[in-house]
Amino acid sequence: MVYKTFVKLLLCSKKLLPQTEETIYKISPILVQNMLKSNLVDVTELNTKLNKETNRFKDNLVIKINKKEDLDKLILPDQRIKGIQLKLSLLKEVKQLRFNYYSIIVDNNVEHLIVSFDNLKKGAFVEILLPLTTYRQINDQQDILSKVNRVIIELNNQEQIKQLNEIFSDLILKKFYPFTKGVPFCQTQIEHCWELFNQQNIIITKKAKECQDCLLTEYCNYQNNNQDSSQNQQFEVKPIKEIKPELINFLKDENTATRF
Amino acid sequence: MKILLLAFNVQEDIFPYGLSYLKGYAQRFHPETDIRIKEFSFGNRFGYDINKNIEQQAISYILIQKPDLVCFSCYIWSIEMVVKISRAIKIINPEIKIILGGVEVTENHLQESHCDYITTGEGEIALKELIDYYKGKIKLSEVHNISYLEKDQNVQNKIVQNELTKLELDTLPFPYKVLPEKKNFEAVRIETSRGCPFGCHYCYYAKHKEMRYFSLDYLKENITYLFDNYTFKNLTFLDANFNLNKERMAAILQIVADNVNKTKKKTRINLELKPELIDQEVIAILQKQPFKTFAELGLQSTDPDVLEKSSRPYNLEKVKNGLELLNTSSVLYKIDLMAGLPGDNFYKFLNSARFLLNNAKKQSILPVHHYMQLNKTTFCQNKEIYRYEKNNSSMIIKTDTQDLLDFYKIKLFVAMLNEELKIENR
Repeated sequence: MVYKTFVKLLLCSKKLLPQTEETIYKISPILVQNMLKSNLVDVTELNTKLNKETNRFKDNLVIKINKKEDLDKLILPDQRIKGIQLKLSLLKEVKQLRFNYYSIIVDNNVEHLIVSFDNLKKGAFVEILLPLTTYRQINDQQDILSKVNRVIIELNNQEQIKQLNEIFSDLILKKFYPFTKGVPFCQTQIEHCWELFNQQNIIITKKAKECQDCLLTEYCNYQNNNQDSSQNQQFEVKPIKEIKPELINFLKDENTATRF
Repeated sequence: MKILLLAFNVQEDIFPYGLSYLKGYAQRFHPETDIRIKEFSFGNRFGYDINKNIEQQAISYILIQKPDLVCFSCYIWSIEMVVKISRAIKIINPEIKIILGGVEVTENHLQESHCDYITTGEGEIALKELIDYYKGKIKLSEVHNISYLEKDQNVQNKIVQNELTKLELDTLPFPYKVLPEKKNFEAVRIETSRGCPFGCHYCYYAKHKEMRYFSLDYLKENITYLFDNYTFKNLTFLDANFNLNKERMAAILQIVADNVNKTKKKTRINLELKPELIDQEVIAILQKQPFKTFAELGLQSTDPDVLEKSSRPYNLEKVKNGLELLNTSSVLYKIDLMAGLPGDNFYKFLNSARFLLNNAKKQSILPVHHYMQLNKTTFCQNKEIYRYEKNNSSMIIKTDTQDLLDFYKIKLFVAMLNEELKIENR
């Protein structure tokens, strides 16, 4: 316990911790158990997700906005949702709605990215999901990344795996915890897979035959998409035969109500 | 004889608690000795200060004061500065004797700083007996709790630790009576005991397992003095585990409550509680007080292997129960984790974080500290742990299971998580 006193004095002395702790350790109005998790739902599902008793949404709902008309259904004066997920091209339409959380799917059209960010609520948590090729286009634009809290880079082929180390290095230098999406667990450090924290959004339809003996087969989102040219998801997978028990402990609880 | 007691802090307006103990105790035996306390604040100076202005100021102060003895209080944030200032003083005026004290000092600093002595036990006894020595009353070898160089060999004098000679806490002067010049502070700190029965390898207090207490009479008299004579908003108890003894905890808080009621001072009390020892009785004691209470709890990890390697006794069910009680009480709290302990890894950290996010429901962020290895702690003997600075307490850079890259990634992860947690409070 005295250890804490030393470290606290050090941190306070270096202004790394606020001096009035009450300001940050105040009572949270909502339980905080579901962080990092975004329970994605379509706008049309909103009514079914509303808890009638509390008039609040449960499970950190993130509403998927697929088209401009969906935004009209999103005027929710007294109801809490975590935020919205939408494509960059729709971002300019959300001026009237102020959210605390934006998950932005960035395609190849990044020209208006910074202008679009200016429309967001100040202090909102901003996450961007983007293909590696798109990240390469913006990774030297600090003014864009300075407005972002989380960068998730999507990879879709084995050739890109060779660039993982450089990507991680680049993200760490920019003070982002590195996240990738779409990479099989056997091809990277699992702690960097976005799917590790978002198991509820994983839908596995057809596993590759190489995955059959893998210990993480039910948790990894990689599936045999060789016939699906639209996804072009091609990796050289191999079964994971050895894993840390604490990783399994973490994954096992992923879909429980009290997981973050 | 003239003695300067010096310390360096980032913040201003900090009551010099430890130095006041030294002065008060020494002057009880040597009332004619001129003992002065001076604290320097170096503010937010993190950039490279080529002119070393604070160092110039401090050295100039020492030289103009012409003391016989200078005592530096050394902490993790000031040791590098003190070592260099000490060396500079010995170059400019070797006649000035220098002693370094505080939890940060080790034998390595004797050569590095060119100082004459370091304290190796409670400083109050060391300073008082050093004055005895300079007055010719005892030999240097009879001064307890110090270490020094003799013909390049380190000499360790006897450390006071047995029942007959150890310091009785009630003999210590109350620091706030020693330095009456300033009466207004944002926060004041007091200790009601010394020691900790738990032997956590990362903690300095593991060396002092035997508990020693200030008597309730001493505390009543002095806490009353504090309330009657000082203005402050926060009162922090420095005890490692304030809820170790519930009856004593209740009695001390009653003293505070009586003074709050009498003086009508709006005060917040800060305590460190052992989470496993929080039960309904502890909550009842805390809740009935006429002041706000803020409790700090250290969990560090929930992984059995990590906790066992750190020798931290644990019972996660009791922690969970304690947090449940706190969640439904009026007591504010924070409970934190430590990243970088031996045996830990990212997934163990995630499980620990999940435990806190699920159970510490009144906490709106996840406090995580990068483990800093403190001098004189048991882990200093662990050959698998490496820290950034060889001689000074500093952050861990490698353990048996992780290295700095892992720690930095955890730091980035936690920073991101805490930004996301803020959504809940908007």
